[in-house]
Amino acid sequence: MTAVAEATAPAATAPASEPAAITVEGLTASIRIAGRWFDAVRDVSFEVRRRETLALVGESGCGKSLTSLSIMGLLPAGIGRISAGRIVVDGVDMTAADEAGKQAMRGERIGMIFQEPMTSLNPVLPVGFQIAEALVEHRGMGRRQAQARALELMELVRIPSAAQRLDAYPHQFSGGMRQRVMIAIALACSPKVLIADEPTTALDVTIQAQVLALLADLQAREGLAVLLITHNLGVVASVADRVMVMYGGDVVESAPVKAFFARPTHPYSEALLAAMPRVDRPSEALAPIPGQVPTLPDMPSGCRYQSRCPLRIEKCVERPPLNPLPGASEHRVRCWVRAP
Amino acid sequence: MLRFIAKRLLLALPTLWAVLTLVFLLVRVVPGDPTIIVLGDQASPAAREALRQRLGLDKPLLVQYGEFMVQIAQGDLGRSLVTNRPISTDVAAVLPYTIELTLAALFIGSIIGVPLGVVAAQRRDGFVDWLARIVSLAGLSFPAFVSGILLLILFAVELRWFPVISTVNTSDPLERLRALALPAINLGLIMVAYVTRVTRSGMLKALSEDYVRTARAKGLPSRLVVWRHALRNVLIPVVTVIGLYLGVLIGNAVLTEIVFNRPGLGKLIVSALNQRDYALLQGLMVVTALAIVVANILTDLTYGLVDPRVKTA
Amino acid sequence: MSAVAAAPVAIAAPSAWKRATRSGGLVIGIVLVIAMVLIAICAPWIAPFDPDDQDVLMKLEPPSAAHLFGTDAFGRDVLSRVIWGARVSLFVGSVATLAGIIIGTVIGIVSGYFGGLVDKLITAATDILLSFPQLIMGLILVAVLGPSLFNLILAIAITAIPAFIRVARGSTLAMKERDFVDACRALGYGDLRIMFLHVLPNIMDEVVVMGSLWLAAAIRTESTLAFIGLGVPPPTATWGGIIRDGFDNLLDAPWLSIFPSLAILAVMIALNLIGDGLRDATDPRTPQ
Repeated sequence: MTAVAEATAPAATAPASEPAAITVEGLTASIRIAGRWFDAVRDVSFEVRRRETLALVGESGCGKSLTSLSIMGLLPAGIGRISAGRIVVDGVDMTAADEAGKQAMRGERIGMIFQEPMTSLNPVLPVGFQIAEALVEHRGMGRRQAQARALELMELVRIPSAAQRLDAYPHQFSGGMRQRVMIAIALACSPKVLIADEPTTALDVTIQAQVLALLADLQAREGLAVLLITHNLGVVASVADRVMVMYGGDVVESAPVKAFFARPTHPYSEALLAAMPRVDRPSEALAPIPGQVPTLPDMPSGCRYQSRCPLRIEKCVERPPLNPLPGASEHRVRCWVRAP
Repeated sequence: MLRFIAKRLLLALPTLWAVLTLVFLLVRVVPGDPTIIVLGDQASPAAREALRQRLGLDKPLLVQYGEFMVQIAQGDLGRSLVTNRPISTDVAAVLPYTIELTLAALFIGSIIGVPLGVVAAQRRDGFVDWLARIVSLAGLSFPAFVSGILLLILFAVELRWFPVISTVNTSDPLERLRALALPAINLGLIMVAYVTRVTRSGMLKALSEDYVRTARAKGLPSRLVVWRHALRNVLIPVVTVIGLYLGVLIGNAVLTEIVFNRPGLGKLIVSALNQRDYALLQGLMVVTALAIVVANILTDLTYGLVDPRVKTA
Repeated sequence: MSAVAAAPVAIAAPSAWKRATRSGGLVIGIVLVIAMVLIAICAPWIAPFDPDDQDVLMKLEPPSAAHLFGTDAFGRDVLSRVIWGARVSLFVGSVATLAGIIIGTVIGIVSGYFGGLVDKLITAATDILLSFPQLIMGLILVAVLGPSLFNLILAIAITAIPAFIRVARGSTLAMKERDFVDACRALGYGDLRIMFLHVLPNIMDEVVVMGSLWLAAAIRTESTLAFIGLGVPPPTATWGGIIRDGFDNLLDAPWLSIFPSLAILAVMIALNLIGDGLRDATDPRTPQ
């Protein structure tokens, strides 16, 4: 991952002529509660290019996980659905594909890792087998060949004594090691896209740093496009190229990382940054954001943040468009007050 | 793995001791004079005294207990009061049939119960789910002798597909299977009920677990996600349930043998009851106790097979 | 985009009664059981014949207009015997289960509450007793005690007690975990009061679910023992006994076995439905 010197010069990302690895256009995903459908993700659009990390940030319930599940086509049937929009991953239209088509993409062209390494691995199957599975399924590899490749992958993700641990079970690994196994599973078929849903949230801080460094390294080696979902702004600052803030299913701010931290413009982004406890200012009182995220049925239909926003005006009952800031076309904000 | 087996066998000893003590106490709960019960009111005092000595009832309870335990440790189950044959011989003759029946029932229970539960969980409220629930209810509601009799009436008497009186001693495997079929189905029915239930609820839980999400994210087809990833985990509660209800299974096996007139422990128990052969009854209870302990050990060992966390702990 | 704010949607969690009655099973079960109990109570008035009335001329008659369920080997009307048999099964089953519940629950609460060595011993004993097949244990007890109504109830109650000890003890331990007991102690309540005025009401739902399932088991054991010949001694009509009498005539007179079997089945299904329905209603983890 690159420390971006200028907001508009992505030095190590893929050339602009190559199509984006992930393209999401106008995605609206809905959830069914007590028989009615509610839009949990509204009209979200973004792109992620190869060798680029886009961080999707927000509190629980803002729709970021739902977005990632939509990309994978893993919304639970009957409870979730994609109501509108188009998703193209590595050249394939995921929204138009049938289940077989989506299965062919998952694990082979898109890898995904999840938050809970403790429960995300099958406790009764050996680790090597779980890594090799995607290879056997998608590439038709023989068992022995796939196991050999699984060993390579375990070494790639820096699991010590990999050869002895190929037949070990998940409960014999620590949390950080299990997450590495998850990464090995996700990257088994050398996909071009990696979705990481809160990969370090359940890990100790020191392990967090190791896993993030590993991901950065792998991204550089394999040329991955990474969609990183997190609520931890510290992680965003250290590894992301661009960041998108979500609230209540809306994208409220989208910018290159440096520009975001220099000038967080949306009132919610401001509040998020202000709420972070600062090591260098220990005596400062914590500044939580007043109120709570409304439940889906109670969501206001205009600006989602209006119930907690100090800058609220009359017009906020209407949904503001995502507008670029003057002089910074890459930095966009959805707010009547800050970006009219 | 070997350490696990050894540990388990060691743990079984106190359980075995406790269950045998229970049998000892149960048989001696007889109110009144057992010799009168066996020989009748008209028996002479001399005959009663002779029987009392034979049964060892003239010795203090603790001595009886000690002798009881020692005898069992030597494999001696005593002698029948009526035939005076060693009980171990009689038991050894019929035990294989009971084991055969029990294993067949376990097999039927699993072979039908597991797939039924899996499909029922996948299509909740569908036809198979409804069928699974009916079968479970039936299995739990039919006392073993009622289902046995109804099966006999339907299949043997009316339809004549199976023999009413089964000849079990033939060397013809087909005949043997025919004789085994109805009793095994009868006994298996209750197993199907338990296994289907636990498989269904286990699958519902497993399918919502994180590792299933990971399996789907790998692009594995539904078939593999369900039958390889989810089911392997559900086998653990299935083995648990089978272990829990082994006692019921053994009890029902005895009953099924009575209804279908199959040779086995059941018939021995009936004759012991009818003839008031307390020695035989005690011997059979000891065998039952041993069977339970062995069955529990086997269940735990199976655990070791299906749950790697147990094996490598 | 429209400026109309969406009205908040009120979504209430369904009440326990609603959850219970959603599955028609519970209702069917309750209706069936009430019907059975009524039939048993009204036996003297509903039964067309005296159940012990023998009529040698009418031996082993198939079902007819006069004898809806046919007659048995002694010429007795099977329908009347089945109706009177309901009394025995329901009586034995409920008394035995009730005894088991009361004794088992008390022991379980006390054992779980006080803990310590006594608790460990009771747990070990309970585990041993529970591993033994209920049928075999009941069989042995009745065999050595002698078949009579009282001994039958006693034997079945004895097999039920360990199950309720386990349920009550487990729930009591769960209560202890929840600091519930500590809070009561802090208020200065005595042990007896805590155990029976506070812990007991909280574990009643699990005890009731177990109770209905065990009632089914008790009736099953009673009829099974009757079938083996260890039930209430003849000539009292019991379902298992009628089946036992009819067993020798399976080929010629299947009705002797079929009708009492259906009666047993009806009760068992009803009680299982009730037990399941109650469990679904009280278990917070059941998916709604």
